[in-house]
Amino acid sequence: MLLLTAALMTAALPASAHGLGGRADLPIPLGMFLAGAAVVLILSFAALAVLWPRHRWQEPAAPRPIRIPGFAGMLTALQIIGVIVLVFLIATGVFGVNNASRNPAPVLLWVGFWLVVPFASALLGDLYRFLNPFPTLARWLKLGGEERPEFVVSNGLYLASGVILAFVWVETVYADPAAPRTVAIMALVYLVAMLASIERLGPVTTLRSLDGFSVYNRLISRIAPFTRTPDGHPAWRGWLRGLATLEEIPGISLFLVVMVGTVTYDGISETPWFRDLFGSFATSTLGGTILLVVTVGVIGMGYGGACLAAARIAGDGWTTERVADRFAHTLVPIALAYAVAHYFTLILFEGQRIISSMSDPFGTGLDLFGTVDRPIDFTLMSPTAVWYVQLGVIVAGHVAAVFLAHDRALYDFDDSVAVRTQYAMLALMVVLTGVGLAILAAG
Amino acid sequence: MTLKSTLIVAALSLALAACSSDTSVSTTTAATPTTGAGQTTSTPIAEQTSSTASPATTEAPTTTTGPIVPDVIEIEISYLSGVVEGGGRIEVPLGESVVIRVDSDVADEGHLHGYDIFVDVEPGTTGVVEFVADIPGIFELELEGARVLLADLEIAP
Repeated sequence: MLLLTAALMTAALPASAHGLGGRADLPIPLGMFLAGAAVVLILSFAALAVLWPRHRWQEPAAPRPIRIPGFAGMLTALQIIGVIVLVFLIATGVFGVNNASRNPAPVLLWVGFWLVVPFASALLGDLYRFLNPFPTLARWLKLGGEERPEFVVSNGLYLASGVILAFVWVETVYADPAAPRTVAIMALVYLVAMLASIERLGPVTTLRSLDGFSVYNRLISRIAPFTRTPDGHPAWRGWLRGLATLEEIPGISLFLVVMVGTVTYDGISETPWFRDLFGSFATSTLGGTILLVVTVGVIGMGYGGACLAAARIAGDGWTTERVADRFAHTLVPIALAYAVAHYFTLILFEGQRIISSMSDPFGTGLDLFGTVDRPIDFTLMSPTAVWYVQLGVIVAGHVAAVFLAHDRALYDFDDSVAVRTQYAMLALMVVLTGVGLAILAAG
Repeated sequence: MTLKSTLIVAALSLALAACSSDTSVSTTTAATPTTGAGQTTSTPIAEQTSSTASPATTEAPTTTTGPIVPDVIEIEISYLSGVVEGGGRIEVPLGESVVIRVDSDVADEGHLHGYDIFVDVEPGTTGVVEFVADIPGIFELELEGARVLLADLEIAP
């Protein structure tokens, strides 16, 4: 009797990005979860209106230094590790076997680089600032032009948004994102682009306005309670404080709308509702591209609408654009929550491939760690447990956003109108929560 | 009210809401008796599938290579004149080998979600899907073209 093993799931990487593992039967109807989540948000909002009458987070408190022996050494180690991983990824991607379940390169990129590093940064602070191999390599190669601050000012985060959009396009629309050769080519192209940019525009300019991944990690790490003092020592600032004091940068609204919209597209495109509606148009390259951009656009319109309403109520010369930039930081916990909810099963399950693929990274028949045939254990977490994690993360992310928006509103707007300006924002949060949960339940 | 305390209150209320509803039927674990993977028994397969599935959907286990081969769960589904027979919600114990045979009077492509297995079906031939049910959860088996749900496989320990 023939037994087909799970090795058949070679196509399983980003193509079914968040759908690994089966779905669960929900113990109560989905509508009740949505209502419960909405109640939590509304109650938080009401509680803040009454119990948080003055802004508390807008003036940066001095971070408390922490002693960590060997901290500087750890940062250097991160830099070296970053370069080693990049070289290893390119080497295995180019020379290893072109099979996504056997080659470590796809796992390293789509799980390690794209998910684990940002998620860890949300807890520990901006790890990518040091793991980023491109500025490190540029330094070693003595590359680095004069900085162009005017480039940063005039381009803001618009180009960085494009980088992220292109990356997610490969993940969600392109036919074969998991192929090791694809991964290697992406890394090589980006390496050349980064080095060229660092040489022509300077490293800081590049990292601040071109390198989408630096920007992404920098924003996400603002959630973390850890930071560094100006002279480089580790310090504690408290959760979300880094976001509350985030300066508005041109294009930051677009960047965050892209973050939320791309994850939304990845999730919604897997639902039966979407597939029935768009049929084969959705699976074509052109159709997928259009729908990805449209989804980002819809999220943008939702956010823009909430900002428009806030600007109207605030009066006093506030424009939609200005409100959008001043409140974009509130979208960061939502972007993180969406990403964690959609992709943590990828880390949990697909991430296990690193264990087997590292035993034979180039496909030469080795078995370095004895794990080369280790199948993925899908029983690590039950589908029901997965659902509850997703639910908790999505609600927590939106509650955090409500907090941040409330505090900023108190700072920017007149006390008499501050809470009212946030009604539309609250409505947006409730909708995003509901849509996010519905997508996860349907997938 | 601090952020932390609000999140704790929110988490507790969610947990309370979830716990209080656990008294209702949880359908993620199979209530029917199951044989563990690797055991061979002569228990008819019918006992391993839920009573909500249509009757006479499965056959007796076949063993072809000796006494330590686990039982194979065989499922037969037909889609004739637009009617699905033998499908619906089917419970499968985690870890078992499964063979699904699909007969259809229209040419189409069957797709088992999650496991991402595709099989062509056409009039006159039987499409066969074989796999080991090692991922828990509920997975749809559908005809992609006709958008017809053939079966919901519930794979649980």
